[in-house]
Amino acid sequence: MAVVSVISIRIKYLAFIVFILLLSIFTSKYSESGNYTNSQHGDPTSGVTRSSIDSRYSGFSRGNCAHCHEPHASIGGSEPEPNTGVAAGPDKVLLFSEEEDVCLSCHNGVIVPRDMRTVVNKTYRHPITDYSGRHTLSKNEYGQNGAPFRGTNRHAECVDCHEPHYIGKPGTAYHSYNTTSPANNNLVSNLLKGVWGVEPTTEGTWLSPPTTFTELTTPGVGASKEYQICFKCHSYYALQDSDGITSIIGPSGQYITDQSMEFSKNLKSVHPVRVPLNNQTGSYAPKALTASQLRSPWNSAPGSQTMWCSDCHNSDASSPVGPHGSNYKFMLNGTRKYWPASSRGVLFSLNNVRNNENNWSTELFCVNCHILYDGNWKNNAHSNHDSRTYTPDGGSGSHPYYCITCHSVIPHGSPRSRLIVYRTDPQPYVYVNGTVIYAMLYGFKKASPTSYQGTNCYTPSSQCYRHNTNAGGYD
Amino acid sequence: MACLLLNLLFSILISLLIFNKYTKAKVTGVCVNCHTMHNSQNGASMMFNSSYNNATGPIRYLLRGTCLGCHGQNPSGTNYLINGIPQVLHAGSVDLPGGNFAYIVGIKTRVGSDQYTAGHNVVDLGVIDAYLSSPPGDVYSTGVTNNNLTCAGKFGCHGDRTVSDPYLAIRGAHHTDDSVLKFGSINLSAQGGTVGTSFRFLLGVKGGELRWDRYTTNETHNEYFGASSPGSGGSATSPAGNTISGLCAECHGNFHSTMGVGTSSPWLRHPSDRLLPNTYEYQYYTTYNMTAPVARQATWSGWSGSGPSNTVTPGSDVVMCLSCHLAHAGPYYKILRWDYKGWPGNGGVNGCGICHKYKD
Repeated sequence: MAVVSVISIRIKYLAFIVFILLLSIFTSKYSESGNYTNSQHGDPTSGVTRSSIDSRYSGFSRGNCAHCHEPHASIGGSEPEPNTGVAAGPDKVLLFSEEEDVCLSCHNGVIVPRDMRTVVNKTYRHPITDYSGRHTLSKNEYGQNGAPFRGTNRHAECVDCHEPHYIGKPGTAYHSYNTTSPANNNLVSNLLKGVWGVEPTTEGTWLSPPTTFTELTTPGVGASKEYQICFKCHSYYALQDSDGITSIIGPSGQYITDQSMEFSKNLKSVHPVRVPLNNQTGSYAPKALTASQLRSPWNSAPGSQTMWCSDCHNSDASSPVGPHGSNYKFMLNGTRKYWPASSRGVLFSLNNVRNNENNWSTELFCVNCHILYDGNWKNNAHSNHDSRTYTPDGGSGSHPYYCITCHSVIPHGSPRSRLIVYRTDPQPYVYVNGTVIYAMLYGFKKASPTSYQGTNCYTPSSQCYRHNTNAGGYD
Repeated sequence: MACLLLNLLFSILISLLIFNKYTKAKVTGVCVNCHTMHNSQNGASMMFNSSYNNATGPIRYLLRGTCLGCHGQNPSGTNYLINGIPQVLHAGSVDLPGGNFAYIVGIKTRVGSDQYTAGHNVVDLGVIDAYLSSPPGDVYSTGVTNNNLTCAGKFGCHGDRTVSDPYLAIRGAHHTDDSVLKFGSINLSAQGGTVGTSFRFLLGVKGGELRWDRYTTNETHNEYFGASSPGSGGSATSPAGNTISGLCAECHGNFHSTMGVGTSSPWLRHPSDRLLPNTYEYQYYTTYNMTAPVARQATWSGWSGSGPSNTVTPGSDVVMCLSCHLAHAGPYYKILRWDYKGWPGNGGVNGCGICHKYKD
């Protein structure tokens, strides 16, 4: 009996050892290897190949390192193709060319169908073609508290947003709504896998952005959420601006602002790029809009869903997707691409919607996701103002109530609910034309969509006699 | 007495059996193993009967063979050692650390390479390189061409490269006491002054010699000498820093120079004679891997030890040309140590991934 017991213990012990061995083999395989060969570039069947550029690579396996890297910048005694222009001579990281030219040599609509070369040269773009010599090495660009993205170093190259050794394959989770786990809609897509990013270590407040960040640099993992990649350049991490409003004017003519401040969880309203609105700690009920105010797929889980930055900012081409370049300001995504004014340069207003003017239904960006009016307004604050007029501060004449009369010009986030802007807010959140200031409100408190009353808003302006009373309790 | 003699004989026999595979460049044994007084024995030639001897004799210095005649005595044979002479050209499975010229001539099977990309096509093989007419990266204008590349001398790798005649370039080396190159008695400062005291008769190169066969375990390999920077002083006839990579650079200098490679990351070409970083993905290469061996700096404590080490120390050990390439020839494209060209489609080894862990 004792012998059986000993044998039994030994078998269990052996089984445990085998289990541990198998576990270690499994984990080592997936933690240390296979990242590249599982990537789109490293796929031995459909991965990268330079054979159509230089036939000497036809014998190389697809996915081979040599299709991008030249260990000696020599093959058969001469530099491989391409070797003219910026590609002439040896290049950093043993690549066959410099910076974006490496990627665009294939991603040009010919070798790879998705024509990135055209997209990145559009009017409003990430400036990958605008600078050279600013990007060093991705792994050398962290650990410096954002300095490589600051001042005269400020740059964006392909590899700042894409990790070519880990990049996933187009297809599922490429850029589609996650119906199963809507809270995970902000997770990086396959095409952003492995890129490093930053996460604020504290939550900022309005005009006081977070100033410390955790660098998410674990190889093969990097950033888990899309905004963490964007924050490398669009936050204090790079900008080092204490109030979050820089003096840098972006390609769309707007001051560059701090998105880590604008998407702070402390704010009363944001688009949910970081957490679902139900988890937006600065907000109060009702936190989310109602499903009837949203278009599909956003009407499926209001309050429980997140979104990508690239849901709003994207190329104007159907392919390749991603915020590379567009001929529309702010690289606005969707079929409607104008904000805050139409293609005619006329500010969108409630009157436009009510009277079907100013191409609102085909151009007003917000309408891509938000149902404002379907014969009836979805919000009584809108319906109460769709035929009224006012005179902006410093202006003259009668003006309809524009979107930006009440809402922020930069509809990322606001210290007020529902992205409301106050007359006292700074540019560029408040719309200013010359000396004319279009914002009117000095106070706002949220209500359910159809129960707004005069006291929910406050302004001392005599034009808004229903809102002259300061009832207190405003955002 | 008879018992004593028998014991002595037995000891000698055992010693020969055990240590024969270990390197010993200083020739011992009877002269006739290499020389012949009259190139005649019972009326027959004493020349080695190798198809690559390229001489019917007699040969200068009363030798029985040319370089390949001696070191490729039996191309179709399977022995990597014949009478203690290492064979650089044979059909056996055990190659020398530098590889095996049999891959060039087709005696052994190539994988992903052809007769011109499998190795250094020394003219002695009769397979003239059809792709390269001169060494890539030849910044020192060596004068080496595909029509004169040979084993030793000005147009070769071994011996004194200031001397055109390969026999003169190597003269005396085989009879030199080379114990300063052997583990247990390594003396770096005494190495490299002569051909005979240079690693593998590569004039000026230092190192630690252990065995003739291409090692099969991490513990039993020769140790290459490297440096933390390519340094200066390299030329067509002198290896910068006395390193093995410096020797390669005598012909391929552009791939070793700061101008051609850069001085720090991001590199322009793959660095050699640079430290394997102890950061990022490189820090995980800690066990010597025969697919991507490293070189050791002069400060490496192992030089005074009894043998090589299977440990790699990022931050101290050195990336060298031979981390990726063989010296003579191998089955793979560009004399690489693994089937680089076929990866990842071949499902095989990714040699790059040994150092570049995150790119596997």
